[in-house]
Amino acid sequence: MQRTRRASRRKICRFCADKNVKIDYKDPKLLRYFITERGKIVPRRISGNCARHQREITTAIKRARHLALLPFLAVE
Amino acid sequence: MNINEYETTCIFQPEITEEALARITTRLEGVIEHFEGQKLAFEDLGLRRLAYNIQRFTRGRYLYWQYLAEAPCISELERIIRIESDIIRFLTIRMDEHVDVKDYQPLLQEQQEPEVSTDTESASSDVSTDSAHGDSE
Repeated sequence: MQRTRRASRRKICRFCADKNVKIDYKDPKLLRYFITERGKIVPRRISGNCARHQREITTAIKRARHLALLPFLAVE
Repeated sequence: MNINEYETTCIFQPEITEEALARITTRLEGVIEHFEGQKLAFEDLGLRRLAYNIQRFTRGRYLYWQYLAEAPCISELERIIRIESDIIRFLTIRMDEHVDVKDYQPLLQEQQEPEVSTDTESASSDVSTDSAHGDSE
């Protein structure tokens, strides 16, 4: 098996690119983009968010979970 | 004392009657008024499917308030919320600290005027969209 490191293009943070998009815990549609189908938060290296926006996403997801807008754990 | 901006979302159990809902709503808003807080916005987000069961309920009625208040108001508000058994979940978030009431004049004036029925429209559409679930395959 060949182990080649994929030269991944650096993703740009979509919240830095579009300043109009607000991160809101009441918006599960947007947040759903940053969780796996299992319900886990997608890491920054995959989502491509910058540190600041990833942090905001993380708190928003946790708040949304408390309000049952997002699952803690989605059963497959 | 400092005035802060808060947001509170309450989830009511789905079978609650409109009368009970109105009673609790006026009670909570009465607390805000009593502590000289000011309501900025109120929204009935309608009946939504819960992402997981809370007290065996699969759906919940979401109500949302945005208001200016001082800190002691929140402890009293949350005390009342905890007593109400029809509220199955709530969350209060401090959006901004040490705010100046003057900055909120436009929003406050909007609240003084009689409610326009845009809120109820969005509430009914939320029920059908059902965004809080759907990846169970």
